[in-house]
Amino acid sequence: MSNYSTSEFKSGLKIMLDGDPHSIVENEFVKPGKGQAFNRVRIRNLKTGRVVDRTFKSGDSVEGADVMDVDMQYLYTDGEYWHFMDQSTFEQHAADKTAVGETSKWLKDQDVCQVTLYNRAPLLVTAPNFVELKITQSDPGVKGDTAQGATKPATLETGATVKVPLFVEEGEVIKIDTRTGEYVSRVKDN
Amino acid sequence: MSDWRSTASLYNLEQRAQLLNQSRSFFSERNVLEVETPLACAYTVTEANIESFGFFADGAQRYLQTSPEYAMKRLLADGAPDIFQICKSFRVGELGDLHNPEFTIIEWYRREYSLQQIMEETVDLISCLLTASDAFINIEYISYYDLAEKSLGVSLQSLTGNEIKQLAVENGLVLRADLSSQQCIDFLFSHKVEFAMCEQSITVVFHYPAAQAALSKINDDDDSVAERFEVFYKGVELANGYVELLDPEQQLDRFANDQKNRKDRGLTEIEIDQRLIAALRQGLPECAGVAVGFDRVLMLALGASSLAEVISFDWSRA
Repeated sequence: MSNYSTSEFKSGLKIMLDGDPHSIVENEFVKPGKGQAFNRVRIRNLKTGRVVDRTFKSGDSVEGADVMDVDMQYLYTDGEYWHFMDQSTFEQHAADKTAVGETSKWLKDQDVCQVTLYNRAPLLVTAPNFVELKITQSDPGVKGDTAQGATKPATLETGATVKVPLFVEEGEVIKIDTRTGEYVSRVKDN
Repeated sequence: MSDWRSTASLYNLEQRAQLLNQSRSFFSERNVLEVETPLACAYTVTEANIESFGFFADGAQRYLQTSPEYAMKRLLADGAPDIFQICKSFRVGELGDLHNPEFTIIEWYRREYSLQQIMEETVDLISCLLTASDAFINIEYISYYDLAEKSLGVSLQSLTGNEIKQLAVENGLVLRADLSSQQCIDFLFSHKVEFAMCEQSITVVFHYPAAQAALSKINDDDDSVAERFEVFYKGVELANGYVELLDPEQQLDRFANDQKNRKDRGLTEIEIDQRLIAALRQGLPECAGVAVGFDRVLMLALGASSLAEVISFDWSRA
């Protein structure tokens, strides 16, 4: 992997730090008039998701991280691995539990997810911002409970549980924002 | 394609013109003579932390000036009275919200001014430019070491080189083998200390460590500090000033030390400005001088968050 000089720093650049791949979130040039110049960066550890502030002396170079974001179609899970396919190369990748994490509860076959590859292996799986999933179980809303914003729990086909408005029924397909885990709307059948 | 357009609003350009006028009135009311000195000179600064744009013209090396200091000192040595200049200056690689490689400096020299006098005049100019809106700004004077101790909770002077590096690393510096303790101090000062200053005050930091004297005189009573000051507002460095070093031999030593630093860091060699040295040998009168970053003052006066907003065409569009 090539090295990057601080003058090439920009948000989105993937670099190695303390043995882990990181992504630059923000980069700021700091220099006292008569003193040493620095690049203060806010970086996200792609393994842990932790964001930290670090400073490099300007002119230093840093090893680039072999990290790529690729859109892949989710195929299935065998319980241990989640299998994805790169739609342009048809190459298949197996992501483990660490890479999939909480995202597993939004994964439905055929959906296209962003898979972050590190040294050509899945490091992180990001669900599409919005997914459409079927409600497999939800009790009927209690009649008379018309309070604004009242909700009830609903279990989805993937096993996830979300809060839905009282009028939404079992068997319906709903749209969810995976970033917040919140119900967005009902999806009308064609 | 929209990069032909200005990065500043018309309103900001009008304010820029007004503050430039205000700066000129400030000095003309005080009988300070406006001068212009060359921007493309045969010599440039030797400092390791400042990189000049160099080019060849008519077969000879020229440099765009990183500040008008040397030429203005030559004028003073040649008999000029109190002088000021508003000019462009150039520094390679200094690019960010608070930096533009081409920027505007207001620089002036006062004969026989003490550190206190020149600090007060600098604060007068900056507050007059900042308070076009009549806001009252508090002013705080604090020495370099006191400020460092106040914000770091430990006296810098009491720390060894290794302890300083340790402190820098604890505060987020990615340490490389070649970092000097002076560079770690620069890090601590620009990342921790400046942020500990009061947001509402103009902060004047004086008596910089002798190692950072640059072109200033060493204090008569305490040779560990220099007659150098800087002015900050909202964490932004706005001015740097000195009671000027007069001794040509001491100045030569410092330039030679700069050259050594440049060599150690693998930077290109820069010749010492022999015309400045000749002027100092002729005799620079007792004086104090300051450089104010005009674009930054304007940025803060307008509540803008980057220099691009107050410069007609920033570096990306120049």
